[in-house]
Formats: sequence, C-alpha cells, structure tokens
Amino acid sequence: MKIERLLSLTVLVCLIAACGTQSRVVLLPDESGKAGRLAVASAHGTTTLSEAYQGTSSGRFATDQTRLDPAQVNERYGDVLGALPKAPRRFVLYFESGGDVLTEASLQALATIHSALAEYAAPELVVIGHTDRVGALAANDTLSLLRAEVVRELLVTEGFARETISVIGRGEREPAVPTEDEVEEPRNRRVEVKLR
Amino acid sequence: MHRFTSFSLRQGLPWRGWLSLTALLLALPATAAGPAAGTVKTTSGKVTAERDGVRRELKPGDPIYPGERIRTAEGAQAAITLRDDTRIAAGQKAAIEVKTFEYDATKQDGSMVISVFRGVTAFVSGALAKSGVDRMQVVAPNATAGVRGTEFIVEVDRGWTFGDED
Repeated sequence: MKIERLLSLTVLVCLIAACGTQSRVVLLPDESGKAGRLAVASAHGTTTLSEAYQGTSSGRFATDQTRLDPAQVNERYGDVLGALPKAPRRFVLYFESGGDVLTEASLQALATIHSALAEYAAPELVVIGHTDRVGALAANDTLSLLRAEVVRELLVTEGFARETISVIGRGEREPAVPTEDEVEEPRNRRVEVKLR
Repeated sequence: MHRFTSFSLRQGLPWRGWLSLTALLLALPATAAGPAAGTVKTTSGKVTAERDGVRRELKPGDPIYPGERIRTAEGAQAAITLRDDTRIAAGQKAAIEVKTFEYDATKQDGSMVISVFRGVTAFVSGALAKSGVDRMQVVAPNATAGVRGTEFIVEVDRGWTFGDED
C-alpha cells in the first residue's frame, strides 16, 4: 500500500514539476557584442532567438521562453564558455606582381605568425589562396591553390610543422575588393594564413 | 598463359586469395569515417570518442570524425574546432556527436548536424552557419536549433529520467 502511494505521488510530482529531460538553448552576444539568430523548434512550436540572453527551455510538455542576465549566464555556464577555443586570427600575405615572391611586408608577417602560434592550443594553419577576377573561374581555382601551396612550402622552411598546415584554393570567390569580372585588382591577389 | 604465371609470386596466393584480398580492400572505405570534422584543441580530465563500439581517449591535436560520440567524464572538459571554424566547448558529463559534417572549403558551403545528448555545450558558429538557412543544426532531445549565428549554449538536463543519453 505504502509503496504504491509513494510511487503515484512521485509520478504526480514529476508531471507537475516537469521532471524528465529539459533542453535549454540560450543565445549569447558574440565577441563584438552582437547577437546572432537561432530558430528553435520543439514539439510546441518554433521560437526565434535574436537578442542576447534570450533563451528557450523545452520539456516533454511545454516550451518556455526565458531571459537570463549576464550574471546568471556567468554563474551557470561561465566555466564552459571559458573553455571555448580562441577565435582564429588571419594574416594576409601579398606577392610581388607576376610571380611567387612575397612582398617585404609579408615576410615580416611570417614572424608575427610565429609568435602568435604560442597563443593557440594544438594550433593549425589553414593557408587560403585567392585571385582577382582576371581569367576563368576554374583556372583561378587552380592558381589560388598553387599560391597556397607556395606559401605552405615557405612556412615549412620557416620552421612550421607540415602536418599542421592545410591548403585551400578559393579562386576569385572571396575578393578583398569586389570588382567586375576580368578586372585586375592586386589587392585580391593574396594568400591568407589562418591560425586556429 | 605463360606470361601470367611468370608474374606470380613463387609461393603466391591462388587467384581466389587475391580476389578476397581485393574485395576486403575495396570494402574498407565503407567503414572509414571520411575526412575529419574537426580537431580537439584542449582537454581536461577524461574525454573519449566512441564509434561502432570502439572507444578512444582524446587528447589535444586529435581529429574527431562524424558519427563519433564524444563524452566528458565528471569534472572533465573538452574544446574542439571544426573545419569551418565552428568552435565548441563541452562541460563535464557531457555527450555530443557531430552526426554529419559536409564542408567544401573552396566554395564555403555544405551543412552540419550536431546532436547534444547531455550536459552543457557552448558553441561559436563558423562559415557553415553563415552560408545559408539551416546549414548548421544542433539537435537536443526536446528541441532543434537552426543556427544562423553565432554564440550560444545548449544545456540538456536529464533530470530524474533513467535514460542516460538516447
């Protein structure tokens, strides 16, 4: 008798207190203080989070909208947030026109990359080649990858470990300075080294 | 016929043996994980990745693959960066899995689905979330977030349920 009563009481309390799995989603400001956008869908509908500290809490029976304050977020989630990897850092290298020789300024940038490396745990270097819009799309994909590979070799001779470096050719898809097709733009003929 | 026998090993496999070996080698890619989804950046305490019943302990610099269940023990933490620069931190007693991760770094498109089974996970989204609607989805037991950006927390509190993850 007693056990049955206890069990039914527990079930009742559970239903009321919404025991069982709760899934919470909280939108936070990014490093520049801006909030992004999340569309949170549950069995109870969809909620859009677009302001920092807005959140939802979904259980089996209901989804509640919540709003936290920075102090609550810090207390509850501070140590996990503190464990996030460091944001990537980009360095842009330019070539002397016509070939695969880096400009003087770009050679200096290599020294900066060396010292920045120590700030990253298990660092990776992603070398991304770019071109301007002169030439065909496919040819620029090839050229940009080639430039990235040249920079990789340079990084290796400068002492960076080859296995931490990956190369990507992005062709004319991501210009620093947007132009019309077939327009020369030296500022787009660059290689980005991303440290993450 | 003569010419073929001169190529065979002295004590070589019969042709059936080579056929089986070839079949085995061709079958291997089907069980391989494909390209890594990301890299482990930091771990503190015990952090493991499990797939198909095989569990390995993770350390900084290790790759992580789609389909691997990543778990942190009590008091442990892990930080991971994915190939599109999405950054993830999992708190203690967490379980997450990158279900799918397709990313073309040249075109900067693709999609990913990450499941969060328990614990607190922090995210800072990268190129995929920016590339379009619903390119990055985070699935929790009672809610799915379509991510456009950028920094957010997913907490799965298992409460008084007996089920540990699924």
